[in-house]
Amino acid sequence: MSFRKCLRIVKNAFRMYGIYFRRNLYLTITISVSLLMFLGFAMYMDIELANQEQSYRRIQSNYIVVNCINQATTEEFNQLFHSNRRLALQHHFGSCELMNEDGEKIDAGCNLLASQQFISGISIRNGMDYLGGAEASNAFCYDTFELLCGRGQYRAANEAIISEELSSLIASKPEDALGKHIVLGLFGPTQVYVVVGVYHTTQTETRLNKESFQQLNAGINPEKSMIFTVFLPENALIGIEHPTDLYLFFQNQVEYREIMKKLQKYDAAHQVEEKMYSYRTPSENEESFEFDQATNTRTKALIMILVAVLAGISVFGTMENSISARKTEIGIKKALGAGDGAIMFEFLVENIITSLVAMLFSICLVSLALLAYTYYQRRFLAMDFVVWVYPSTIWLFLCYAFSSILGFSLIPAFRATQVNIIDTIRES
Amino acid sequence: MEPILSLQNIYKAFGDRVVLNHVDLLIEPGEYVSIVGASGAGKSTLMNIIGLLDQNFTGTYAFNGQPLSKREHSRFRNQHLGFIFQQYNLIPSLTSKENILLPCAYASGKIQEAEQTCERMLREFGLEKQKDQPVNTLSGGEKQRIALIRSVIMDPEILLADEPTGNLDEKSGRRVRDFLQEMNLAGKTIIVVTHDLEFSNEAERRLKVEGGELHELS
Ligand SMILES: Nc1ncnc2c1ncn2[C@@H]1O[C@H](COP(=O)(O)OP(=O)(O)OP(=O)(O)O)[C@@H](O)[C@H]1O
Ligand SMILES: [Mg+2]
Repeated sequence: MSFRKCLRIVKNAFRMYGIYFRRNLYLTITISVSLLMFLGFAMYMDIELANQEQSYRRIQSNYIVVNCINQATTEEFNQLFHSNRRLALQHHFGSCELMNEDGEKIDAGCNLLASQQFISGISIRNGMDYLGGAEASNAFCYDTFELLCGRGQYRAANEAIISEELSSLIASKPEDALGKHIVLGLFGPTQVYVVVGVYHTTQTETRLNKESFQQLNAGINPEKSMIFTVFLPENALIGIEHPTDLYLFFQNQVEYREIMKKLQKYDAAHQVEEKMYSYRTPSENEESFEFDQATNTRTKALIMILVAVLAGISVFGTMENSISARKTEIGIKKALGAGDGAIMFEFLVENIITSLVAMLFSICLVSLALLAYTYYQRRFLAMDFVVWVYPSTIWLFLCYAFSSILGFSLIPAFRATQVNIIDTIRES
Repeated sequence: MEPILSLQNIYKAFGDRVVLNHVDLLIEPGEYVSIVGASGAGKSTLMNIIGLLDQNFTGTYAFNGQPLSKREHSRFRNQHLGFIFQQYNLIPSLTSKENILLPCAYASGKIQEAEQTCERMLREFGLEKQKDQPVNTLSGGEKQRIALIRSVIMDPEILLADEPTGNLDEKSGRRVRDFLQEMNLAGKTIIVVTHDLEFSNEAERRLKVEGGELHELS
C-alpha cells in the first residue's frame, strides 16, 4: 500500500468513525469505563506516593533519622548525639475546625482544643505524632503555637485543656513554658504531658487567608516552613516513657561524616545484640523511596495488564458485532476493489481512533476527578500536598491499553476480510 | 483481435447441483453482450464469476490474454470492472458523492480526475442537489443513477450489469439502457443480464444460459 493510499484510508476511517459515532460511542464508553477503573486506581496510588515523596524530599536533605525501639536506646542516642539531635516536626494538616469572631466554623490546618480566653491557637505534638491543640477563642488571631511534649503520667481526669496561665505564658514568654504540664484526654486515658519545646508558627492560617497572613508576617514564606527543627533542651526527653525518633541534623558534609562515624562506631559496639534502633541516611531515604516507587510501578503494571485485557475484550466483542452489522458495507467495498489489507487497515484504524478517544476521555475524566480531589483537599482538608500523577502512569496506561486494544482488534479485523462478497451483495 | 476476457472450461456447482458445466466464453473488446435465461439457470452465477466476485470456480480466467492471480483480483475489479447491480449496493450511510468516489479510496492516482468526472456526471444525471445527501434518503431511480456513475468512475474497460433495470420503472429503465449504450459507443465492453427481451435485443451479441451450458443466440 502506498503512503497516499494509507492516508486516504485513514481519512476514510475517520469519516466512518463519525458516521458510526453512535455505535462507536458504546464501544468508547465500554472501553472508557474499564480504563477508568485502572486509571483512577493508578492515580490514587500515585497521589499516595507523591505525598510520601514530598515528605521524603523535605526531611531527607539535612537529617539522618534514627528510629529507637525502646526508651533506653532513645536516652542513649540522646546523650551520644547531644549536639546534633533535633526533633523534626512535619507540619501535618489534618481536618479541623476553627471558629472565627462571629462564631462561624472555618477550616484550618490543626485540631485545636478549647481554651476560652486564649487568643492564639496551640497545637501539641510528641515527635511526629500530633496529640491535640487548643481551640481558638472568640478573639481569634492568626498566631499559633506548637508545643512539643514529653509524656508524663496518667491522670484520671476528663478535661483536656491548657490552663489560662499557661496559655498566656506561651503567648508572652514561650521559653518559660518549658517544663510545664499539660493535661490531655485525647486518646484513651487522660495524660499529663511535659512541655519540652515551644515554637511559633502561623502556618495554619496561611490556608485560611493567605493575604492576611502575608500582611501579618511580611517577608515569611509559609510554604517553605513546613518542616520545623526544634532544638531540644538538655532534659527534654527525660520522663518520656516511649521511644522517639531522633532527627540528627547536619549542615555540611563534615558534620554528616562525623555523625556517620559515631553511628558506625556505635554499630560496631552493638553488633551482637539485637538492634534496638535503626537509622536512615538521606541516600537510604532516597533508596527506600525509590523502592516504593518501583513497587508502585509494578503494582500499576499488574493492574494495568488486567484492565488492558478487559478493555481489549470489550473492543473484541463490540467490533465483532459491528462487523456483522456492517457485512454488506464490507462486501460492497470488496466488490469495488478493496483488498484484504485495505479492509483490515480500515477497521483497525477505526478502532484505534475509538480507543484513542476512549483513552483521552478516561484521562480527562480522571484528571478532572484529580482536580476535584485537589480542590477538596485544599479547601476542606486544608492539606497542602501537591497532588500529582507520575508520567510513568500515563505512559504505562497508553502503551498497555493501546497495544491490548490493537491486539484484540486483529481477529475481528481479519474476520472482516473473510466476508463473502456474493452473500452480502445478494442479501442487500 | 485478442479477447478482452476469456473464460475457459468454467465449472461451478453448488453441492450436487451443477450450475455451469464446463462453459467457455470469449468476449471481444467493445462488445455489447446480453445474457438471458430462465430464472435459476445460473446467469447471476456466471456474472459473479465474470466479475470475480466469486472466486470459487474451476477453469481459467484471463484478461487481455493474461491469467490473473488471486492477489490481483481486487485491484482488477477496482481498475478494470464496473458493476451495476439490481439492488444498487450503495452504502446507505454515505452520501451520494462519497458512494460514487468509494472505489477511488482503494486505487492510486486518478483521484482528481475522478472528482471532476463525478461532478460532471452528477450534473448530467440531474443529481447535483442530492450529492451530499445520504443515499438511504434517495429514491430507487436516484440510487440506480448513483450506482451508474459509480460503475464508471474509475473508467473501467468492462461494465457488468446484473438485471440493472429489474427494480425500475419504464423511464428509469430506459435511462439505464441508454447509459449502457452510450458507454458501449464510448468503447467500453458491456455485459448485461436481463429478463427484458427488448433490452437484450439492444445488445449486438446475445447469450443464453440453459442446463449449465451457454448458447449463442443470433
Ligand atoms: N450459494 C448458493 N448455494 C446453493 N445454491 C445456490 C447458491 N447460489 C446460487 N445457487 C443456485 O444456483 C442456481 C443459479 O442461481 P443464479 O442466481 O445464478 O440464477 P439466475 O439465473 O440469476 O436466476 P434469476 O434470473 O432468478 O436471478 C439457482 O438454482 C440457485 O438456487
Ligand atoms: Mg440472478
